[in-house]
Amino acid sequence: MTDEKNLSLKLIIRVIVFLLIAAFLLIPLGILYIPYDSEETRQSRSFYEADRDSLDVLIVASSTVRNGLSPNEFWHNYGISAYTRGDSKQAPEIALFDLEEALKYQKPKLVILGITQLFSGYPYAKEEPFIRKSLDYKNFSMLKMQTVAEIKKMDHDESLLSFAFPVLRYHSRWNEITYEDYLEANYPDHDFMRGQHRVKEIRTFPDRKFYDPEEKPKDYDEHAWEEYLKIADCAKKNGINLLIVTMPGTTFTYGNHLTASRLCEEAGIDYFDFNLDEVMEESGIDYRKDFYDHHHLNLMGARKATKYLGKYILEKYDIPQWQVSDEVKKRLDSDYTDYMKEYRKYYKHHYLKEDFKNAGE
Amino acid sequence: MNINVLEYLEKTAADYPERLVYRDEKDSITFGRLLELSRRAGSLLSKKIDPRKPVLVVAEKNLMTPVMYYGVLYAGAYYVPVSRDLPAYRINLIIKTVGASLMLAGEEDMEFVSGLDFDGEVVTAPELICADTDKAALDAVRSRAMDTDPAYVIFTSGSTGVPKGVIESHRQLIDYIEAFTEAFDLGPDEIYGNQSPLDYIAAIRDLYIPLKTGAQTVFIPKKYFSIPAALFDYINEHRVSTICWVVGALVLCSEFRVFDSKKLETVKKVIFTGSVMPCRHLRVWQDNLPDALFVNHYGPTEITASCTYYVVDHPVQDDETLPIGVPFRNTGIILLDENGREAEYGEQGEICVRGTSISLGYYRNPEKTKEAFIVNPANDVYEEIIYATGDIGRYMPDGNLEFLGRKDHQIKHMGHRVELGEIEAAVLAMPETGEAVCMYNKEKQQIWLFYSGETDQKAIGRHLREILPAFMVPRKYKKLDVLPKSFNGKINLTELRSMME
Repeated sequence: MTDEKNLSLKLIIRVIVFLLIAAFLLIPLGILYIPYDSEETRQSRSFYEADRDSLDVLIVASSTVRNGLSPNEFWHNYGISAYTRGDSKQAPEIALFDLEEALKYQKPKLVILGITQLFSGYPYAKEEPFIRKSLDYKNFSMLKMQTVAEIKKMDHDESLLSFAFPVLRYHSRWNEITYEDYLEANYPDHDFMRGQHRVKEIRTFPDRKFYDPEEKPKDYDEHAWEEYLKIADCAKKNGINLLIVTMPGTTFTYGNHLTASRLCEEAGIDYFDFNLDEVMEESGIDYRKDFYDHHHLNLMGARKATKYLGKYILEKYDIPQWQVSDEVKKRLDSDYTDYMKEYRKYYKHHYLKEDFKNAGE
Repeated sequence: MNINVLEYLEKTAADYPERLVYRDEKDSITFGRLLELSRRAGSLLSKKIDPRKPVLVVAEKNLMTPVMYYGVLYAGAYYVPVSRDLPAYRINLIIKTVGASLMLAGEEDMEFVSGLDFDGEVVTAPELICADTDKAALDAVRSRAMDTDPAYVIFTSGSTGVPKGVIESHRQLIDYIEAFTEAFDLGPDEIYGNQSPLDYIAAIRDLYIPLKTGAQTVFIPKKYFSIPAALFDYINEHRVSTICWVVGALVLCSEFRVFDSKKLETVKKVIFTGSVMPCRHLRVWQDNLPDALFVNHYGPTEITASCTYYVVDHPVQDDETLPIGVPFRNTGIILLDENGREAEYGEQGEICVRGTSISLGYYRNPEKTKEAFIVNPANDVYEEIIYATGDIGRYMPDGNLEFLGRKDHQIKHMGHRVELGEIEAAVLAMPETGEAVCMYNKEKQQIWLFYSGETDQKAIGRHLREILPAFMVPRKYKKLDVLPKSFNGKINLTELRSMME
């Protein structure tokens, strides 16, 4: 009897040891197997490097806001320390994750939130690669696994385990992996754009009148609505102001505006819509040159939008200006310098040189 | 002039001694026998208790309970019913508050009683009905009786967690029974189907109206309210003509779609109270009982069960809200605004009740009595005591009173005044919803919705966004199979409140 017990104990110990070794090997291997994406990886990893409690404004958003607002312009023009945690086609659950995870490192006074997914049901299964991109480069945590569990409710095929052990998802890449992958996954460049995605191309659209008294509120996706309310709750719980911002876009209608207003009213939060005729006029955002496509601003448009919004948020919220440590200031100044280099590089040969003059550059 | 409610029993028993007054699942009792047993009980009790003293009664839904009640009244004392369904903790709180020296209980309740914190004497039902009638003792008691003497104390929930005992006198009870029977033309041919437990205020109608009119009450066992199909059979079998039920009991029947397979063959009057009746459910009842009289009536325990009524004179629409109507005869309603002034006609104010039916106050609780039984600020001639219900109402153009919800159900949220009842009504208008209650978590500043039915949060949210301002859309939703009920069938708000923590 005692021998049988000893045998069982030994077996249990062996299984545990095996699992520990497997986990020990699989986790680092998994990081190597994740397909490297220069910008997403850099942006995800750089956020963790930012000095603790050094941000006053956090931008959490999908591509429209992620592209359309520039943390560097917030700093340069107004002394606001900001960072963007955004992803292309960001699922609302991931916006909540980005905020909750950010709060472990930062205590922002204001969170700016984009709500692109409010008007269409997020196709979770179809956008699985974007969900992976949003989460794969972020630190492993229980919060991350909870977020995946929430997403799994919407896409039952999603594998919880593959987020803990990415090798399970990307094992077929075994013959593609090089030493470069190792270096880039572990030592990405610092993201001087501070989370903003850079798009330089210019597309021209006809001017338009936004306000239409005949329009009715646009339909919305109930799930996304609930998820955005959760973000509002999270901000409220943490005593943070939340501002929902909708960026200019040729397909965003007054009906969309009414629905977004309704969401903000229900959540008890503020709403800022760039599409309003008077905002477009005052901000100087130009349909002819400030757009990358129908609903994304390019770098020039983002610059104008940020300058306008910066002024607005300083008037509305109690946000400190230029009040960061010397070390943080050095980093912010350096980021801005690199950002401007990039900006000039993009546009120096462009025919719109007036923009540099106006900006005093 | 009647000064004692037992005079109803004595007169009716003299007129119809052989007519049945009460019937339970096992047995029935005539007016003559009820009178005799009550007098026997009263004779024994008059030797054990002084007039105007409390006697605890373990009240169960059977024929002995009214005998014990009336026995107490014959002794000149007043009864304090407690139900075995109450948690022991609550019963002990009531026992402690009342401080009675005497308790009455059925023989089958003795084991239960021995587990309570009661040190006084316990008299069993068989002892009471086997006692000899002492006419002289009973006459002596009656000769000193006044209509202002308490008849019973009914305990209701208190916001502090300590139940409040509402004391009501013979005069208030008589006044109420007179007004109620007159309003609905209730005569000797009615057969009432009792739903309420006998320790609950609603039971006074089922118990005392037959004493006045010579009608009969059938005590419907509680178990039938979990199996509505059997409930309909029971009602038909006993040829029940009138039901005075809490809203929840009616909703249960329509929700279970009992009418799809059963008919109510004899019911002619449906009187409901206790909470707001969802018209979607009332419509089901109206469709299936097209010739019946439907009455919404309103009022708290403190004014002897109800003070206003509304006869539903038209087929209702799903999204309609029923008024609470007009006051009973000899009852007045005034609406006081936030400044204690009488609200202008059409404006909302706290519903305050004037008249004889206002109870004597809360048992050994002068503070709470003073809070609720106030001096009418609109009367500068003499100190007129009125009862402030804590409910908000307003007069509609047709002269009916509209119930707008509890005063403490009216909240300030996001800078707006929100009437939670309005949200509930909007949710209840959805055909898939069963029950709905809104509550406010002040700390988190969130409106919660508790609901049942075949719908979900997303559908409710979408529906509410179409008809309510954004700040009125609940932030938290909790779907339950059924909303928790207290022993009297009303929704248990305390339990719901605990779910918000």
